Amino acid sequence: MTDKTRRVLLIDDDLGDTLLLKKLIHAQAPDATIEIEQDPETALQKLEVCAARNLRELPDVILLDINMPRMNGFELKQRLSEISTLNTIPVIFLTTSSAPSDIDNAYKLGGNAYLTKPGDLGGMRRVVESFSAFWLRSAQLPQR
Amino acid sequence: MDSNWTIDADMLPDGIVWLNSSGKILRANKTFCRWNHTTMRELEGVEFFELLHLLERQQARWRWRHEFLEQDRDISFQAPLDDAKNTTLYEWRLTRQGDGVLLMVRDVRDAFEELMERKMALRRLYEETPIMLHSIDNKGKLVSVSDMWLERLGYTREEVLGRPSTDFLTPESRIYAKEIGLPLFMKEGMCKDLPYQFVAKDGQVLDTLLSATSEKDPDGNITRSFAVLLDVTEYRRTNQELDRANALMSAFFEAVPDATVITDTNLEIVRTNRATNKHFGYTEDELTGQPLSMLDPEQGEVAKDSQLTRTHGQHATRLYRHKNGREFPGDTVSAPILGAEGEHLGYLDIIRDITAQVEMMETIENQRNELAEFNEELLEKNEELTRFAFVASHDLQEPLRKIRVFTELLIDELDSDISSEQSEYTEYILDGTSRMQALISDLLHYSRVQSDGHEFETLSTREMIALALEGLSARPDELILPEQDLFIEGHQGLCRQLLVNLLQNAVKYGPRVGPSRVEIRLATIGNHVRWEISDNGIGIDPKHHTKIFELFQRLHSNKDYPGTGIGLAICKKIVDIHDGSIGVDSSPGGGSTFWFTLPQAMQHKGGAL
Repeated sequence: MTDKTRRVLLIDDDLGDTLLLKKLIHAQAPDATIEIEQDPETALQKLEVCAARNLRELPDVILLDINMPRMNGFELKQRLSEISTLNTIPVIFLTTSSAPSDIDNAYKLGGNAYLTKPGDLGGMRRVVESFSAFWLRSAQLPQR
Repeated sequence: MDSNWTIDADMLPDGIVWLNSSGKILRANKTFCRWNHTTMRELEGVEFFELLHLLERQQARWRWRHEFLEQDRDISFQAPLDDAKNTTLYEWRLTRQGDGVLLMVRDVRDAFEELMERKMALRRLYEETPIMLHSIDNKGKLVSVSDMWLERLGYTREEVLGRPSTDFLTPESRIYAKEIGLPLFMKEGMCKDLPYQFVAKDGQVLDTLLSATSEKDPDGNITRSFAVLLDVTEYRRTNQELDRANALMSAFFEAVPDATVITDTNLEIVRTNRATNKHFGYTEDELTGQPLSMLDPEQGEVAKDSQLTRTHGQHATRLYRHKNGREFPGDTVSAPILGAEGEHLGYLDIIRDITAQVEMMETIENQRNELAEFNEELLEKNEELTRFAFVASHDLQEPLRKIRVFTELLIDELDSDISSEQSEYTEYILDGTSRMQALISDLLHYSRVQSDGHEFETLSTREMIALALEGLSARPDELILPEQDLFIEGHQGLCRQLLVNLLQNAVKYGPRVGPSRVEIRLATIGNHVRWEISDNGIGIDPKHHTKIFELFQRLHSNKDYPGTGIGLAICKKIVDIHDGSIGVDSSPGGGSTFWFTLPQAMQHKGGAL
């Protein structure tokens, strides 16, 4: 078990998905803090500010969508990798794409996992269940 | 003095006789006595003409009386003696000598023979000269002909002498001779190179040129002709053949559809054909004597080095100039013209106007470029389409997922508050979305079927079948596999999917009752391996055999045979990627045999059976 509640940052431009995921994660890990950012550029700015001023506010794990306007998930991951305090945060790609090229790219950029959004509620539940079990309960994460 | 004279007279080789005025012998020398085989005594008092040969005696006596005595003229005549032992011909000459008469008798046999011999030699010369000669008298009858004349015309001398020369001419020549030739000759006394056609005994016609001169009597009347005939038959024939050959060459030269130009060694134009006029606009007169550079502006440069560049059969494409200044491309064959001794006479240039070909080549080139562009565009479009299918299907999935997930969430949260009717509605929503999801997923799958840049590899048919069977969700009750192991050249993932799809179909559309049976057969056909997958299933109406390979084509309801109709479209796409073909032999209720071909692996070609 961890000494503090885990913070999850969900970066996804799809409002429906963010609401659904928040609901499903909360059901699995009621004490976890879930933050939602729909705009990747804003998300990056906020993370940079946190890294400079308040490390404790940084998320423990990031759930990152790929297909987003202006800046896609890969670009965002690339930027995070370039910033020393941000490059230790695990990034789990969660997307509708199952294209092999996307999967390859995700891991190439240092993504920690690649999950596909299932087409049905049951599937979504199972994905969130396994995510929460691993990243919010089992995995050791960097201390701040 | 007398005795002196006697001695002198006796020594002469001629006979010397003195006669009195009545013609009686007074004295004769020894030569005369010897010729008469008698003595002086026996001769004395004998009239001289009594000594002459009987045939000459009468005339001699007549001439003695009338010419010598009455007209007082010296007379001479030739006659032999009346002596059987002496046939010699003598010349008798009687001259007055004071009161008496001197008779001189000379043996003329030698002179005569000489004359005769000379005459004979002349005759021989005439007859034996190897040229055709004839003579006609003033009546136009042949009096002599040469041996060559007889040889050429095939007659004997006896057959021709005495006949009119015109008998031996062709009818045309006979008319010519009578109307022109002979009158001219009789008037001028000579003629030169008159064309006569003689007819030989065997009917052959001889072309001759006749030249003749004439012999005239003292009054200037022509007594006979001497004609020389030049046999020009061979010459004529050779000339005719030459003319024919020339005409043929000329016709050929003119008939050549390409501009054909003959130049001398200085590249000055000697002759041109009609096509030259057509292609260059100049007449032959305008070109003759002009430098070749008039037609071929580049020629100036080449001429400097003519011996080197204008070799036999040289082919070149050059730019020529029409009279109107227009330049056009010509394909030219050049060859030197050599004389019989190998001496250089000039050149032959055959110039083919290739404007049309060049234009056609340009058109073809343009079309090829257009085609290449079009092809590139097509490739781009195709790629774009693939991208579009991928993106579209991906983006279509998203809202569907949303509909489904939130419908489910809605049902979840409403729980028992939902009526059975409402529950049925939501079931429809969910059924529709899930079917739509399946379609989109298959479309996405279809759009992703490509070799992905992976190299083709050599695949064993046995291994491929094994891999495919692993991927099958359901197996037929009976499965018959081929015994042989062939090798194909292909993309492993795609080929496996191809097999899986067809095997799955074979099971899915199996018999409605009884055990299902599937057989896989292999055969090598040309450079390909032909696969056959036969089942004992429900079969397909032949009218659908082509349609079933198209995207989303379904023959059955979703209730009977669930599916999207993408499987065979994917199979066709995979076979197309491998440059193979695919088809089906089937009839309703009679089972189906799906067949396809894949390229045989190079290193195993022919050796795998």
